[in-house]
Amino acid sequence: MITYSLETFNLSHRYAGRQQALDNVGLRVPQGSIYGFLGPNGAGKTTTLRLLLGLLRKQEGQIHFFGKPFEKHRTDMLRRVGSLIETPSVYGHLSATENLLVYQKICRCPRQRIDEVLGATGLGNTNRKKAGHFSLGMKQRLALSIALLNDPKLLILDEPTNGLDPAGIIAMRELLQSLNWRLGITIILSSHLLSEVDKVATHVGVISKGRIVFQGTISELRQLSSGDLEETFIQLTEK
Amino acid sequence: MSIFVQSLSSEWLKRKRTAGAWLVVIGGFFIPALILFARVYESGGLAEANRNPRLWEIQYDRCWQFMGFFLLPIGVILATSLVTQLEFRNNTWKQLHTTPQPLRVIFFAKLTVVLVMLIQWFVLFNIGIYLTGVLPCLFFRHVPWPSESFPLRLFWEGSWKFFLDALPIVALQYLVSLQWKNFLAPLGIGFGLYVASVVAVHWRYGYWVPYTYCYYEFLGKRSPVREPIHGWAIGYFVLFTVVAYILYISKKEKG
Repeated sequence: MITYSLETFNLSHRYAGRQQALDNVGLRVPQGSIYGFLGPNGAGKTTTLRLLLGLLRKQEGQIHFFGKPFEKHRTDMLRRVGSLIETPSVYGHLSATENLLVYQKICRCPRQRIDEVLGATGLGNTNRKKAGHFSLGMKQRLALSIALLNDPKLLILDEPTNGLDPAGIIAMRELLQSLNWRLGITIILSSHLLSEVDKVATHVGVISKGRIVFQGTISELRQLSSGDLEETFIQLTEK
Repeated sequence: MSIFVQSLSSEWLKRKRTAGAWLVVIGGFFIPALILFARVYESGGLAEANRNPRLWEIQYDRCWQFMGFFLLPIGVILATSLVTQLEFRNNTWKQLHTTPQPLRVIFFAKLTVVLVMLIQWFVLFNIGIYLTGVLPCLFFRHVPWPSESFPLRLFWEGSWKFFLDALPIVALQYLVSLQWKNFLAPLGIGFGLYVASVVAVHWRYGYWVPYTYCYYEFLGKRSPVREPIHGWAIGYFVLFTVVAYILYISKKEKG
């Protein structure tokens, strides 16, 4: 029997005065998977992820993390989840270590975790340099360090390769795979780039106009595509 | 309780090196530094002044004269807005709201940081007043040590009253700063209300305006108002804090 780290049931959302942003979204993210959450710009990826984390007030549907309803166990669930939503959230006037200290105090994780995550994301030598002086790629890696700090069981990453150079994208991909393989962390990775998801994901969910139009393993998507993955993606999202 | 202490410690770290943190230090010492400069500049009368048994009373009045009705309210408006707007400026609300802590803890930890900074301001200010009396003795041989010991208790009582008077400003600025992403909004509202309070202070119902209490405190017995302003200040503080909390937890988008 498959155990799901995350499930949503009939998740719907409408922004005031605008059309339906999400329509009965039912995500099923198997434990231990790298779940590529794909869709064109404006399809509803970020809205879904923000709803999952409680950053948007839920209107309809259910969200379950590790088999438990998120609303009732919000604090406990967030203790087991790391996230990076859209642009990196870092305090520009603090160094990388100080940024992590801010969250280490709340998460109550050991102080040595700061050095571990900084080392893992390649920011171990930034010393006292303020995060405001970091490049976008460095900020993105610092944001990932923050997401990893509490040793999460589930990582929710919204377009984590945004702003990274090609070497940074490869490094990020390798890091995510290593986290998944070595530590068994389930990863939800949203992207509008099929090629990016194709290289790392074990499972895929495709969203278009607020509706899930495909969900399954990456091999199931490949079978559906009979070779040309991009063509299938375009067909799915233009339905 | 422990999660609150940890959250408070985290919030306290965030204010490190911010404009708000510097404002507290500079604001606390600014008036005493000016008074000290003026005393040293007119050093001829320093010895006589330090022998005066009313030295501390005079220094207290001189310092609070500028602090009470102008620098304190303006400083509170600025510092509260700067500290609260930190999350908007760094785009970090979304990260903070996905940390494993209840929303009420975030709200009250931030508010506590502002209140502790206000206390810090008063501590520095009182140290500053003390230094205006004793520093000249270290630099001028002819100036004696103040004849009277520093009336610590009286000074703290005075500061405590001004602290209570500043509470409505803290709470309302906190409320506004949590709601508007644009830094100019809380500043505009704060300065607007401060100007309104200066205009309203001689009106018989001036105490209705929540930013007037520092001014009334400064006027002391000359105040035209006989109402219990500390009660009004605490009442407004509780009211604004409750409204701020309700608005904060019922926000549809949390970053």
